[in-house]
This record gives sequence, C-alpha cells and structure tokens, in this order.
Amino acid sequence: MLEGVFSHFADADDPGSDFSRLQLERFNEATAAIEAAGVRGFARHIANSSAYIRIPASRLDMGRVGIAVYGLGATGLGPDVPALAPAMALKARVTQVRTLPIGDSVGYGRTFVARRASRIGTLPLGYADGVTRGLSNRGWVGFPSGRAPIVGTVCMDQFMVDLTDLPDEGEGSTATLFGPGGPSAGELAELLGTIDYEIISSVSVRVPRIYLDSRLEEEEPC
Amino acid sequence: MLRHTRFDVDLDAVAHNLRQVKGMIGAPNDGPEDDDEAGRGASSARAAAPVRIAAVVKADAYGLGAVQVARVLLREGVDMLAVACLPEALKLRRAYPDAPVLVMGHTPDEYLPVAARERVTCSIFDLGQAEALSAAARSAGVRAVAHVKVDTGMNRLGLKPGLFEPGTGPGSAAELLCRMASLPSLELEGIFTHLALYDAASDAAQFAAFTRLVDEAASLGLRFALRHVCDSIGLMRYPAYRLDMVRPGAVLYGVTPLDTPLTDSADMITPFRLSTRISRLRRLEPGEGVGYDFSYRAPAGGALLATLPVGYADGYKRCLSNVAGVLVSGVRAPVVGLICMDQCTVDVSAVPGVAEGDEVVLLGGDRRGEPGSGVPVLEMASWAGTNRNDVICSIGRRVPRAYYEGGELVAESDYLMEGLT
Repeated sequence: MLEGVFSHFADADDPGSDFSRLQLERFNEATAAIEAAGVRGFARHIANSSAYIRIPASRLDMGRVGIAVYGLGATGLGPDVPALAPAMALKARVTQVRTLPIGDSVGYGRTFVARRASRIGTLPLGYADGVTRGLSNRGWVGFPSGRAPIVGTVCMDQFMVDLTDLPDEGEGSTATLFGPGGPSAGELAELLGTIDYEIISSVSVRVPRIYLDSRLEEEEPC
Repeated sequence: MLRHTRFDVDLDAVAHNLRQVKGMIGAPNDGPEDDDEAGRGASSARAAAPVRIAAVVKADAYGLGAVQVARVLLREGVDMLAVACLPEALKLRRAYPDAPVLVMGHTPDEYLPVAARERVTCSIFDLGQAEALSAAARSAGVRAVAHVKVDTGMNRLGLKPGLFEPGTGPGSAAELLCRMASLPSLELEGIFTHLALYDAASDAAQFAAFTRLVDEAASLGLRFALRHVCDSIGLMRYPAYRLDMVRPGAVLYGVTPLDTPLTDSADMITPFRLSTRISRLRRLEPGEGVGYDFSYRAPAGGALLATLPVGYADGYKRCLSNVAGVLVSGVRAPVVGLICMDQCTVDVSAVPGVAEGDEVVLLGGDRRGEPGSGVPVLEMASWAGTNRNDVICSIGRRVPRAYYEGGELVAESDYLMEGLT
C-alpha cells in the first residue's frame, strides 16, 4: 500500500520567490498522474513550516511542521503569520566573577583586553555544549538586569562575559544564551551567518534538558 | 548499526598517541622504572619521579566517546582521567569504579556531596567551596580529594595569587590555601593552572605566578603532591613546565599543536574517521540548482551530484556549504549547495565509476605521509573557520560510534539506541 507521496520546497521561507508555486504545480501534476494511473488513497504532502503558514494551497492532505513547532523560523513571512512562542531557552549560571584592571586579558590567545576596570563572569559551557566559537568577542547573553557581551575566545567548556555594566549580577546569576530573556536563536543565527535551525540543533547532549509544563515566563531559573 | 553515517574510532591509535606522549615526557611505557631530568623546572626541587598523566577525556573524549577511550587509556597506564563537569565524571565512575577522576571545571556547592560520595576529585578555588566539600565528605564518611585551580592570567576560573583586598580574605592566597588544607576530611592533593598560550613570555609569566604561589605555600608548610600546568600544547612546547603531571587531551586524538618544535618529532595518528554512503546519485542539467535557495547551480556541462545522509545536525557544520570537500574512492568531491540539517550534496562528476552506496569519507581517516588518504581535521577546521577541537567535538550524537582494536570492531555506541535493544 502506498500511504504517502511527498516533496520538499527549496525556498518556501522566501516570500519574494515564486519557485514554491512552480514546485507545487509540478507536484500536483505528478500526484494527479499517479491517481490517473489508478493508484489512490495516498496522502499528499509537500508543505514545511514556512509553506504551511504562508501558502495555504500547499497544505494538501498533510503538512510537515517542524521549526514552527519549536517557535522559530517563521519570521519575515508577513503580517498574517501567527505569533510563535520559542519553546526553548539555553541557560547557565555564572560560576565565578573576577575584577580585572585595565590591560588584563581574558582567555585563550588573550583576544580580549580590558580597556576599563572590568567585572568578568565565567559561564560553565562552551563549544562542546554548542556555544559556537564564532560568538567569541561578538555575541551577548541576557541577564535579568540587561545584556552582557561575550568577551574572549569561547572555550570548549567555558566562556566569559563582561558584567561591568550589570552590577546586580554576580556568581550564581542566570544567563540566557538564547530564548526569552536573551538573544533569540534567530538573532544569533544572523550574527553567525547561519540559520536558527543550526543554533538549536547544535546544543549538545552534554546539556541536560529540563521540560516545563507551564509557560516559559513562569519558569524557575535553571 | 542502523545508519550509514558513522564515526569510527581506532583505539589502537589513541593508545599509540598516548605512548608518544609518554615517550616525550619520559614516563615509563612498561613498568615503573624511568627517570627524566629535563621534565622538571619548578623552583621547588624534589626527588625525581615520573611525570604523571591525567588524560583529558572531557566533552566525551572530544566526541570520540569517553568510556571506550578511557578504557584503553587506563589500560595503558594513565594516572587519572580529567573531565569538565560532574556528570562526565560520574559516567566514568560507573564504568571504572577505581579510576581517579578529576573535574577541572566548577562544581557548584550543592553537588559537592555527590562528588564526595562518588570519590570524584573536584577543583576548588575558594574557602567556601573547601568548607562545603569538607562538610560533605564528613557527613558521607569519606575523605574528599581536591585540586586547587589557580588563575594565573587566563581570567577564566580559579584562585588569584597574591594579596587579597582588606576584608575579603585571610591576607594572601597562600594563607588561604593553608586554611583550606587544614579543614577536616579534605585532602588537597593537587594544585594547577592553565596557560592562555598567547606567547612564550606571557606563558612564562603565568608559570612564574603559579610557581610563586606554590613556593609561598611550601614556605608555610603546605606541599601539593600533584602540581600541573601543561595541556597538550603546553607539554610539547614547554618541557620545563611539566612538573608532577601533564594533562594531554587533543594530542591523544591526533590533534598536534602547531608551531611547536616537538610536534615534528611526535608521530601522532588520526584515530577517527567520519564516513557515510551515497544515498542517491542524480544528474543536473546545466543551470539547474540544488538544495535550499539554490546556492549552487550546475555548470555548462551539467553535473553528477551525490546526496549524502549527513547534515549539520550531525555536526557537519552549515558553514562548510560550497566550501568543504569529501573523499569518494580516493577522489576529492566538493560539497555543493547548502548543507541541510540531515543531508548534503557533493559533486562527484570527477569520480570514475561512482555508484549509489559508495563510501564517502567526510573527516579524518588521514594517514601520515599519504596525502589524499583522508580529510585532515586541520583542513576541515580551516574550511569552517574554527579550531580542530571544535570540529571533532561537534560531531553530533546522532552519529553512531564504532570502536576498533587490532583491526576488529570491539564496540558500538549509539546514543539514539541507548536502552532500546
């Protein structure tokens, strides 16, 4: 029994492209031909998240919704797009805070040098956890009282942030690496020249997952 | 195994690399007899003893799989296993009940009772932690072992040497160490720091700061059995900094330091190989695009493309799109089009007789002196604009690991299948 026939869009997330309509047309022709040959009762599916939201005609018998379920990926698709809530946040607590005099450096290769007396906090995760090295001296994390820039080179298991402008944050404070309270996965992706899919799928299995039944806003710090 | 994409680990090669390190530091490769004068440069001289080895198997042995890798390293006589966090230590504790395991990162106070009970050696750097660990050990009826982490300039983690600001400490870092050492049920077995590896002068300054603190503590009657400073790069670049123990990590996995004289004399073997098989071949007409957004279009003569069942969720980073190359039947085939989450495409137009099901090498498998034998991790790192450790430890857990010894498959590990078979 043939349960399903499916295809996949190449650029359904680009509202400026007509290629999805062409692909849909070709797919409809193909499935019609299969039916004309006497094969019936199969489910037709071609829509991914972006197509499902943006091109109703593409929904056919089934949609394959992925990134939208995780609350990402459907930005820039237009005003009709429903508001999606990110389903995840990556968080960590500051392990140690130290005060640096002007001229002191941080981390491997001393890629950050303090140009003012600085308070530097260490977070206990790094690229082996999926914190991309490309965020070294470029990214930021969110704290309840504001943003802290990433300083120095992201290490395998740790990285450092500048807490100088956040006097309320200290050892034990919770940082949000992405998700509500920090940069969105999409913002990080833009900074890194990639897509939010890669940001979230790179969080390694060393990071424990905590599942919450309530809304994120009611969550206790990790 | 239920997937063609796999990460093969040659445990003999890991053992070989360890023996290379042992040769370098003058540690005995068979039996306890050995001596090495060059290996000790600390001002506090002591009787010659072999430099010990804490094998770094953090990040699941840089992605190779800590339990299997540690089994071979322990058999080959490493003195200690070093990891980044407590869960990594516990995984090894379950597999190797008697192996000394050091957590080099921070263990929050609330987890110290677990660490004490499980005989995991923690890294501590302030009095509060020492007190918490001492108390935890006491109530567990054990003696906790700890190493003190010293921050000599990396500004990442550790106790800063020198004097404390009035009101924040007991006076000097050395005095603080003595207070920590005087706590019951707590043994300060080691003291260590980590070099920033910026240049020789700043590394020397870090080493000097470390030595000063150790000497100051010694003058107060506190001696540490294990003083250690060197990671893979440090131990190859600075023989004089090896002290009582070295912490080789990357080098065990075939990642030798660059621009380091000793690298030339080290015969390290790449112990891993990421491979897959061609799932589909298709011919593209001239101008036809491939993959998301058609970031690649076939040239005038068309192209023969192979679809591979590996993508960025497997750790084949998206930034390798239209940049990286793979090896098919000994021929380099460029990655074309955007790498997807689960698949990517390569141009195999130049591969004679290519067929669906053919094996494709994505990373590693390279043998010294045989150019084109694999895809060196250094090349991959430069394609991805990152370092080699990142390349290896990014290989996703969706990729099953297969372990070989003596050319035989000895174990398989598949994160997704855990508990299912």
